[in-house]
Amino acid sequence: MAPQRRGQERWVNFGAVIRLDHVTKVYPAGSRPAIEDVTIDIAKGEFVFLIGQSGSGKSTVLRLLLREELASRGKVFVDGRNVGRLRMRRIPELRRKIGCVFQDFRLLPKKTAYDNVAFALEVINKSQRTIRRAVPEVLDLVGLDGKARRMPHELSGGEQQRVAIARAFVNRPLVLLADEPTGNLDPDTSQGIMSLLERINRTGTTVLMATHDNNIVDAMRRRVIELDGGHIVRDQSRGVYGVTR
Amino acid sequence: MRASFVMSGVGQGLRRNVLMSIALIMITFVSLYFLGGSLLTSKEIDKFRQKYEDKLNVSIYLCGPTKNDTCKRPFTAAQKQQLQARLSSDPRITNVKFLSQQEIFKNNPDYLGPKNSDLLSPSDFPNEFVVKLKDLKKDYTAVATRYATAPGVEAIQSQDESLKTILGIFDSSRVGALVFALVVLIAAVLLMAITIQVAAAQRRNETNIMRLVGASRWMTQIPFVLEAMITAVIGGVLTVPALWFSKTYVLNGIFGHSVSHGVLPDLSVNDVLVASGESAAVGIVLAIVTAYVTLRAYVRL
Repeated sequence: MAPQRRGQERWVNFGAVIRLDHVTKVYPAGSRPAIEDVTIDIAKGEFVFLIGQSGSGKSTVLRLLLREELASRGKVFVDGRNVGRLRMRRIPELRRKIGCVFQDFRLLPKKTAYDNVAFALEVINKSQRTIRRAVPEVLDLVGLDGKARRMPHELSGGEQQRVAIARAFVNRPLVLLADEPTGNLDPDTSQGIMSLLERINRTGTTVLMATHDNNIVDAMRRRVIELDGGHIVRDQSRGVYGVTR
Repeated sequence: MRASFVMSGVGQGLRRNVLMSIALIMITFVSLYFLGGSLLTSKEIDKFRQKYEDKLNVSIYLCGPTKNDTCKRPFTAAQKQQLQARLSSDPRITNVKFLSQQEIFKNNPDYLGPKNSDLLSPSDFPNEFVVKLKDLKKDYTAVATRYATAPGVEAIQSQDESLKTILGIFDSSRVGALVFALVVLIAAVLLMAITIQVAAAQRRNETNIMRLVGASRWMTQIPFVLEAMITAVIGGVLTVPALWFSKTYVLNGIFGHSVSHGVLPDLSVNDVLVASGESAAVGIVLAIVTAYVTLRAYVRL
């Protein structure tokens, strides 16, 4: 049995950075559970694809990890902490351990690439010194060192997604959640984004990526968890996309 | 938390909704102006009471030549002497003074206004005893009942009654201003709540990102709370000249003659500043509470 603190199961070390333990989520308006009795363990430093058709429950898993939603049944752990039992004031602490990237980039249109990335540090009260050091460093990492002063509309889709990744990674999170990060990009650009995510993964950051992109999944040959109708139908290391299609 | 970062966000927010910000400042100003007006009127009432409370007397008017239900003939010297003796021995009375018609006429030459002084003569005034009670409010009724039927007495009147009229006018305007202030304050609070909801909807992308990167709830709320607070502060600052102008117009304009003759007490700059400050404090607290409650109840941050 895993060790527990304060007997509240708020903190459990399972050796996994992400753990879903028989988790079911039923939305108030939903006729059936979005996910049902899902159990997943993801170790530190893993790169995992979460695949499945629209409505299969991929986004629900990501929302549960971010504590955007609470599980109806079961437990969700991130870095050993029971996310469902976190007090409200502890939620920001959890989210600082998780970086997020979305299909639609979600950049602030009136801020430059630099300011978009710096924003993520400003709002968690990082010092100007840290910001001045960390932002150019991460922009360099994502390949945008010469484009820091560009506005989002002056950047291509791929470059905008790189800014979004830089913003998600600038605080060096433990986990990077990517929800269809290549959904709006052409195959070549998608390949570049995947190389970047791989590079980030090599720094020790766990990457959990929800995707529909079979080419990427097939090319990367990483662990694949497939959801169908809210149930895990496949959990395969070095998997490909199309086994059950 | 870096103040410059937060304040630049606040500035952007106010500029983004500039028309709504102006509307909010105006309605906050109007509500705080009426609240301040009500507080200032209360101050005037207090000063008025303080000025006159120790000086209020009871007038016991004696019968004159005019016949009526209580007076069949003018009072006699014996009646006056007897009454004076009774009044002087009454433990509730601290001072008794007789004022003749001539004395009253002499003291009030402009009773009907400076231009009409020749219309009056001493015989137009009644002879009276001016009596000071230990406790006017407590003893007036008992004293009035006891001496109303004394021989040679026509009527008894407390000067408090005369004051009640003018105090009533002030009090009505105070209550009116307070009611109006409350109504406009409610409108201001509702407008503030709507403005915050609109601003939060406009900045949903920004606040979503703040949430996702781990900003505290306080950090996501503070720009909205500060914006509401700033509009309340501006509204509060505007009430200072507005209240000063109103005070000057009413007390030094409409009631200027009474104020300059010392009948009505004047209000100082300090009184205006205190009333403005108090109403601004109410506005600022309301703005903070409204912003906080709105954000918690209607906006997911």
